[in-house]
Amino acid sequence: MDITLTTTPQLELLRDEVRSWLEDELPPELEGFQWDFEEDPDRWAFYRQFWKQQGAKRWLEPTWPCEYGGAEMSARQARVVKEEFDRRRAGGFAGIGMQVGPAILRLGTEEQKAAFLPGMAAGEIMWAEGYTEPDSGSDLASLRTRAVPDGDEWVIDGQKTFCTAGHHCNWMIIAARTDPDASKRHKGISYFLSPTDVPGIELRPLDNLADGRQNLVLIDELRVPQDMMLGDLNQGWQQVWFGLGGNPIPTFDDDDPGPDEEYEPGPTGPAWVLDQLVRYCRTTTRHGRPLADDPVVRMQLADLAIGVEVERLLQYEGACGYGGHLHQAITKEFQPEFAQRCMEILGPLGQIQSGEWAPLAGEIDRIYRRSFGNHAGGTSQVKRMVVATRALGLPR
Amino acid sequence: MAIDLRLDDHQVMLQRSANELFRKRYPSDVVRAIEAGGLGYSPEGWQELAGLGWLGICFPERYGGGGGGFLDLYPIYEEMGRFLVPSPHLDTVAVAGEIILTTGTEEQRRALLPEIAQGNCIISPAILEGDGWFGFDAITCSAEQRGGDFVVRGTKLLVPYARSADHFLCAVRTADATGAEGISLLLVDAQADGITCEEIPNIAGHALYAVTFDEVITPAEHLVGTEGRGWAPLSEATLKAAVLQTATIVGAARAVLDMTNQYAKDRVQFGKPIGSYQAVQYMVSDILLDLHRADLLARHAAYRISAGMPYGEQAAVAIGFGKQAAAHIVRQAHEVHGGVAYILDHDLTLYSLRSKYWENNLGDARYYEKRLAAELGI
Repeated sequence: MDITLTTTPQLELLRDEVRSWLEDELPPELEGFQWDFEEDPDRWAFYRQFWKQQGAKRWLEPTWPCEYGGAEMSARQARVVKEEFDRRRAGGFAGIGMQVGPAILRLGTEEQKAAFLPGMAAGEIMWAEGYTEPDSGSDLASLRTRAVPDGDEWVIDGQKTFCTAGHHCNWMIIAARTDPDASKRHKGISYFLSPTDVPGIELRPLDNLADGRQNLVLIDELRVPQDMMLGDLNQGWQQVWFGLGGNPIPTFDDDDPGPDEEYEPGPTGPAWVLDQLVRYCRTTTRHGRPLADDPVVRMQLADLAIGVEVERLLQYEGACGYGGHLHQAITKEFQPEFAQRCMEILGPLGQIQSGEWAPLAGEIDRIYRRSFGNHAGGTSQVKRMVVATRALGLPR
Repeated sequence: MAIDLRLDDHQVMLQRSANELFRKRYPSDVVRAIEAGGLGYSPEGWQELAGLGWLGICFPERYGGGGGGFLDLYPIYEEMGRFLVPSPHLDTVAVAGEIILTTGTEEQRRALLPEIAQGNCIISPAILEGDGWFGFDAITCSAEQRGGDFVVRGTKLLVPYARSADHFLCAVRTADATGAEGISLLLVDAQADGITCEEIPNIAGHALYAVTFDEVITPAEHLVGTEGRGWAPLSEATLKAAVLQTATIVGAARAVLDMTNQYAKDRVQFGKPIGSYQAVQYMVSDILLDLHRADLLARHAAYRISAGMPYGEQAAVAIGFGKQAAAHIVRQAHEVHGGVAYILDHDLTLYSLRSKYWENNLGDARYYEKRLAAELGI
C-alpha cells in the first residue's frame, strides 16, 4: 500500500485550471452544499446549473470515455480534480449516480450507454435509488418488489423507501424480484431503469434528522420496457449489487511524464471540520484562557486528529483485501464518535444551530445530526459480520 | 448498609399518578405541537401541575407548598422524562424556587413561593453567557449600584422560556472580583425596560433565548441573598436540580429502551428478529446498563439530599454519569433502529435531540467531573 501522494508539473497545471475555474464559478457563500442534507430551493437551483457547467468541462465524470462525456483522465488526474472540488466544498453531484454510472458502463447495452451516460456526465440525469424496502434494509436480498413480464414490458409493483433526494432525480434504478421461485432469494433479482415522472411512481416525503428529504416510493403497475433492464435477467444481485460480470470499465493511463514530487492536499471532509474546530479553539476564550490551552480539549482534539488521519488514508488506500466492508465499518463507527467529541469540545453552546452565537456557524450541529444516518448502505454491525465471516473466516 | 433507595408508598403512588396523567396528556403528537408552538410548554398543563400540588410539592406549607421531601420530586421528574413533558418546572421550581427558599428574604418567599406553587409565576434562571462555560468564572454580566437600584448590563444565553418568564433570576457581578466572590443574584422583572429576548435555534427545539439587559433598572430589594455571595446558593440549587434532570434522563431512557427493545424483537432481517443477533443484544442491553446505573446514582444523591446528608460528591457522580449516559443511550438506540428512526416522524428523534439539551443544561459532563474532582479533594 503506497499512499504517498505525488504530483507532477502537468498535474499541477490541471490543478491550477480547476482551481481558477472554481474561483470564477463558485461564490464562497455557496460552498458546502450537501445534496442529501438540504432542501433550500435557491441552493438547489444554483447547483443544478453548476453541475451542468462542471459537466461541460467534462469534470463530472472525468475518467469516462470521451464519447460518453468523460475526459479519459487517469485515476490520478481525476483525483486532482476531486481534491480541488473537495477543497472548495463544491457539493458533489447527487451521489446515487455514482453507483449507477459504473454499472451501466459495465453491464449496459450500447443503447443504454448512449441513452444515459452522456446525460449523466452533462449533469442532466440524476438517479434515485430504488433498492431498500420497508422490510428489507440490511437484508436487501429479501426484497419483495415484483416485476412480471407482460408482452415486451415488465410491470412492477412494490414499495421502496429511504430514497434520498429522490424527488430531485429524473430517473430511478429499481431492484425487483423477477423469479419468485428461485432457490436462493438473491438469485431472482433484476434491475430496471425508469423515469420518475411517470404513472406508477409516487414519492412521499420522509424528512430526516439532518434536514434532508428521503422518500417512500410507491410503485404501482409501473410499466418498464424490456430494454430498460440493466444486466441479465435474475442476475441483478450478483451483477449490479456486487459488481460482478459485464465488460471491464475502461481505464486510462497517466500520459504524464515529469518528476514526481510529494505534496499534501488541503484538508477536506472531517479534516476540514477539524481544521475549523482547531481554529475555533485557538480563537475562543473559555474561562479566561484560549480553549486550545485547556489540556482536556487538547487531548480531545488530538484524538480527533487520529481518527481524521485514518479517514484520510482510507480514502487514498483504495481497495484492500476485505472489500469495502472493513473501511465502511471503521468510517461508520468513527462518524458518531467524531460528532459527539466535537460537540463535547463546544460544550453547552454546541446546541445552538444558527445565528451569532452558533459556534462554527452550526456546522457541528449538522454533523451531529447527520451522524445518526451512519446506517445508510448497511449498518456497521452488518459490516462487521461480513468482515468476521468472510475475511476472518469465523463461523456464520 | 441501611440506605433504602426504594421509593416509599407515597412516592410510588406519585409516580403512578404522574405516569397515568402524562401518558394521557402528552402523547408524542402533543409534545411535537408544543415544540412547534412557540411557548415551548403548555400553560394549561402548567396549571394542571399546580392544581395537583406538584409545583410547590417541596415548598414548606407556610409558603403554599406541600411540605414534601426532595425525593418526592424524583418520580415526577422521571415521568416527565419518559413522556418528554415540556415545562419550566426545573427552571422555576428546582432552581429559582429553591434559591428563593434557601436564600431569599422572608418577604421574597412570601411573595414568590405561593405564586410559583399556584402556577402564576415563571422564573427563568439566566446564568450562562457567551463563554459557554457554566462556572462562576464565565460570568461577566454586571449590576452596578445607582441610588437604591441596580443597573444590569450584559447578555445571557440559553435562557429557558424567556418569553414566558415573569422574572429572570440573573447571576451578575456586583464587584470587580473574578472568582466566585462578587457574584450576586438579582430577580429582574421580565417586563422591565431595556430587556430584549431573541430566540436561539437549538438542536432540541427547546424554548431557549438570548436575553440582553441594556441598563435594566432593578430595585435593590430584588437582590436574592447576600450581595457578592450569590454563587454558592446558585451552585447548590443547580447541583440539586441537575440530580432531578438525571431522573428525567432515566425516565427518557426507559421510554427509549422500551421502543428499542420492541423494535429489536419485531424487526426481522435475514430470517430472524434482529434482537437475536448478539451485536444488537449488546446495544439494547447497553441502554439498560446505563439507565440502571444513572437511576441508582441519582436516587442515592436524591436520597442524601432529602435526608439532609452531605451530597456534593454523590450528586456530581450521578450528574456526570447521567449526562454521558444520555448521549450513549440515544446513540445505541439509533444504531439498533437504523434508517427508520433517522426520519423525524419517529419518536426516538424527540428523545435523541432533547438528550443534547440534558447533556448541556446546567453545565456539561465536564463541568460536573471537574466539580467531582474538587469534591474528592483532587
